[in-house]
Amino acid sequence: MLLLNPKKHVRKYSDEKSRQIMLKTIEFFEKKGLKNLKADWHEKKWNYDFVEFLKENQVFATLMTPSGYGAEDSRWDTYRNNEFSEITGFYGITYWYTWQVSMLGLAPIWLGSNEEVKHKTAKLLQDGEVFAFGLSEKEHGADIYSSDMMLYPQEDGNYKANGDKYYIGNGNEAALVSTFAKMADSEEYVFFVADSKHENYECVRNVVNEQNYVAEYALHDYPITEADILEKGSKAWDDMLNTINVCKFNLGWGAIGVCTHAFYESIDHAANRNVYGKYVTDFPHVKKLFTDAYARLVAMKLFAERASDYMRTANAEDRRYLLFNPMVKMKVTREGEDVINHLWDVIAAKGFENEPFFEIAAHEIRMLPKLEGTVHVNMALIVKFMKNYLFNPKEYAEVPRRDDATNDSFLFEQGPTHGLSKIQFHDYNIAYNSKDLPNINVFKEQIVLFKELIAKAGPDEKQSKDIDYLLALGEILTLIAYGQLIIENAKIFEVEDDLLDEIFDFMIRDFSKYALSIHSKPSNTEKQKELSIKIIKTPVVNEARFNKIWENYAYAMKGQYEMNN
Amino acid sequence: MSILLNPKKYNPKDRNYPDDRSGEIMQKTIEYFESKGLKELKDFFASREFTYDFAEFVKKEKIFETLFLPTGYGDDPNQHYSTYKMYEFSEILGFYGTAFWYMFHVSTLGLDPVLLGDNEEAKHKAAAKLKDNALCAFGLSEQEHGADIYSSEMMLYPQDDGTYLATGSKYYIGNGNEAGTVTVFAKMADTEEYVFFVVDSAHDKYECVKNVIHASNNYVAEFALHDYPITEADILSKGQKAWDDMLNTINICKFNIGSGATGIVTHSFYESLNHAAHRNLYGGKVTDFLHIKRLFMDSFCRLAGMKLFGLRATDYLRGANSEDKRYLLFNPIMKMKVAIQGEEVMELLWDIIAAKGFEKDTYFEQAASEIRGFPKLEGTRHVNMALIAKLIPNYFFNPKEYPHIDRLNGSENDDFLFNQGITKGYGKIQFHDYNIAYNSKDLANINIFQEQIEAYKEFLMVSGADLMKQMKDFDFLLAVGEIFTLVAFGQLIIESAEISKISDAMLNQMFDVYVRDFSKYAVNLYSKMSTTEVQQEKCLKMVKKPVVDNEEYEEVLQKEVYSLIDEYEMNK
Repeated sequence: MLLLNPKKHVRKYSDEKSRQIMLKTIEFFEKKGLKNLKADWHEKKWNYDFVEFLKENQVFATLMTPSGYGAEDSRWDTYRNNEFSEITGFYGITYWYTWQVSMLGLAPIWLGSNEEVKHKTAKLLQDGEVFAFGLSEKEHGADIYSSDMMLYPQEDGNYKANGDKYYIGNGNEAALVSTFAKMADSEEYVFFVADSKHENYECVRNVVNEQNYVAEYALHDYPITEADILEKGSKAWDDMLNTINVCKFNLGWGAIGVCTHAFYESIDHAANRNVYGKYVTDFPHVKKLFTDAYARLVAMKLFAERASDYMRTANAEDRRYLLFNPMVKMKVTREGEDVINHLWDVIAAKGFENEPFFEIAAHEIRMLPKLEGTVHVNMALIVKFMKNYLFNPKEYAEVPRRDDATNDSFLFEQGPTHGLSKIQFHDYNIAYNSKDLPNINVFKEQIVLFKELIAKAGPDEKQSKDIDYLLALGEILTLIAYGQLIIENAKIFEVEDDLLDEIFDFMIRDFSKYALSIHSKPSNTEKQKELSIKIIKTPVVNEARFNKIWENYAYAMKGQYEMNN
Repeated sequence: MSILLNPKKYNPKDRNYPDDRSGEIMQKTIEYFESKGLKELKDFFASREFTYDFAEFVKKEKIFETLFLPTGYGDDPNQHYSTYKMYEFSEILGFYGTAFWYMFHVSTLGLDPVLLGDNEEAKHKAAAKLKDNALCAFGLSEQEHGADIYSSEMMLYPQDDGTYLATGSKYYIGNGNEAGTVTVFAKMADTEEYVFFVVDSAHDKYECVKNVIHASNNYVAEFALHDYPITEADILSKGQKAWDDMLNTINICKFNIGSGATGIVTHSFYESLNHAAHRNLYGGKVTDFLHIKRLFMDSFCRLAGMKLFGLRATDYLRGANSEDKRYLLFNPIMKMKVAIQGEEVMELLWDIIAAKGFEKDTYFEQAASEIRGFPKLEGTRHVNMALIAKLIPNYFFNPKEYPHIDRLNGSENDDFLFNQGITKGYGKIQFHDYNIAYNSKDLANINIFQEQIEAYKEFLMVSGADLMKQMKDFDFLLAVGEIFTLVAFGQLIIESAEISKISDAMLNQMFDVYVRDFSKYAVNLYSKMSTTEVQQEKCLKMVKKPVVDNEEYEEVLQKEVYSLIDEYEMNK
């Protein structure tokens, strides 16, 4: 079973401690029950109970202390961190968010060169503390170059920090808030840590009306010594970007968790509801909506699992994760929105009711694509890989499934964040040619036609600067890489061919949609118009396959999981 | 002057109301919200308290009486029911928040079965009751049956003395906590005949069980009647008439969904535009970025289309009579298409303002979640589309001449809405030739759009009678219907643009968006499981690209869109 079922949690773990963490987390939520979960959500109660649970079970200390700083079984293991993201997402983004922003707060510490702070942090993790990442500012948002938070050097060699940060999760409670700033004199970047309980730290307010606490905080002459400084200059800049690289991976996993829970609930509701003398699940369009939602959800998971293998295998010579990682953030989360939209089309008004989990899912799934950089920013990044991915492959040793108990040390030594367009990939044809299935074959034709478009009528200089145009091209590059990793992982997970082919049914339709979007761009030349419209194709119809996937997979989710009340 | 609602520049004269009273209620309502200001509005939103204060205001100002009552009821000698008036009020409430809109919407739903019914005494009684309690509620859906009205389990039990006792429970009933007039759809326990009767939520046999939703200021009740005593005086209609009144009530009221959504999006649009225009990133103004320009342009065009369509659909609602039922197409489009367009615009705006859209002191934050509700009210899009699809043959192949309907903003009472008659014969409705509108303009993108329509007609012709069979699958039906809807949507937009004196440049840019939509829907239909090869060929013929005119694009962007920067900001 590929999708998470907390009541039958069978995922493979390399050690018992990891399994226990996941099982205890599930137990925490199931004991809490849906009714209390929803009550806290409605009351917008910050998740103190969860933080207490995390402390008692040393969860953050185990999962977020790299080897060498904490207990023997502590390590940074993306494989198990993924699962923790998925489980917390399954029960609500509030819990996931506490974890996510803690990780964002911790990464600049582990990436930095201040050993003293690292050991202190390891201790704070054992004390059950949470963390925060002080990056964005109200007036500048994603424009990090313009930070107004300043560190003022004092005569005694110490500093005073002054400034304001905005949109900082856990800013109300974090023991350490990794704060990105500039040196007031040299304008050099600097990363330092502050304590949210210090008297010169003012937690101004929660800027959102949610269960999460997303703080505006201000530092007023907050005293800083060299001991609090994590990094300076261009390394501080790199650490900031690399932090986001490490953590944006969780977004996709959170979305997978949210959607999986919503799926169980929706299929149970529809399968047990009788209108006009039929069960809702007997209507053909409902079958279609569920089967599509299922195929998309399974694809999200297959891709994210495989992307994790590349994350964990990465090294200075293999930075392929820099393509796959932003996709987990940007592609998987948007697919999640799509899945929720499909399910909502089925359950309609039920999606607003106060008792089901779905209300949470419908509200929170929208957040994920908008966190840690917009779609546009991420796409601008991905397009840099276009040439090498399509036209200049390189041989790599095959990456196996990475569920081993390794500390992912490379994530903390990623190095400078440039040179993206030099990264090479293994040939995507290896994966695509490994399968001879009707829809995958159509998809392969689409890839060839897309390559022809890029080769014969690629974007001109002006188009290359038009984010709107790049977005359209980037969607297709993303889709090709998405399909590639899905096929690679279908082999590892022994996904049967019919299910894989059903996944490529929607992949072809999406490919066509994106091709049309390119076709419609105002700046297109005749040649670009002509070549882009040729990409539009339709999946191969196979009713028997569709019915099989509906019955054996999508509908079979019925009655499999229901949260304790 | 922009066609978008701007409460800060509101002048009732611009709307040409036939009486002072109509403009007065709009102005007072705007003042009510602006004097509270955004902060108080947002605090109220966060409190999730019921809209008592607004209900008090509505009662004091007798607003629902002015809006809901047809000629012959209430105190005003000029009293008339006007969809034109309803449109703007609904838009204003959407502009300030769904909670207020919903309280209004379910009240009109609740009152209409009384006004449509056969019980004169009940009509006067309900009209008088609005003075003490303006809230009404519509007791239709039940927990186990939802949209399946045939299966209603609420029952009226005849008693020996000729009266009745009502027993049963209703689910998802807005205002069910406080409404003075709650109209209840039920069956007679003995004959299984349908019946509509009226109850009061304050009665001791009426139990308001719970609020089914939580995250809003509305009360969406589950209520139960426990041997609630009913006499003939409380019965509004029986049998087929009760059934028809139920459907006709929804027909009248689903119109509000489009106007409410238009209000929501308009406010969000101003807020997003102001935010972006005053924000500098990477050394440039956000509104100068190429992709942001495109996002604003598309948002504006879609929003303008929502408004223009709504204004024109209003005319067809008001002009309807037993010989002219064209509103039965335009009205569901108002509900479904306009509301879904609203969702799309919010997505575009959210792409611009990103995390700002989550901040609690913005209007946008509540709008982004509230807009989702609109397409899901009063029937899913599948149900609405199943209805509309029956009109495809006559719309495209069997037009009829009708006298021209002008902008109807006069003092006539919308009589026919309360006298729609039986809900049968839907597929027989004919339309005026859509080519009249499309041929009235010679604009590059409208010309392309017409080519797309021709290809769609060819699609319909090659499909023949099998199409109806194919459309039994709602997934396929939705894809076919989406294109039909777009054609009718575009038709009314062109008609409306003429009346509202929209420039050709702006209209042409709007059709830039619709040509792209047409192509997108065509590709969607192309990819459906049951689409045949001949059909597929026609689908590809529908795929077209808009004609590029950079100068015109820039002109419309500056003149129509960016000219709205700082034109409206809600009081703090």
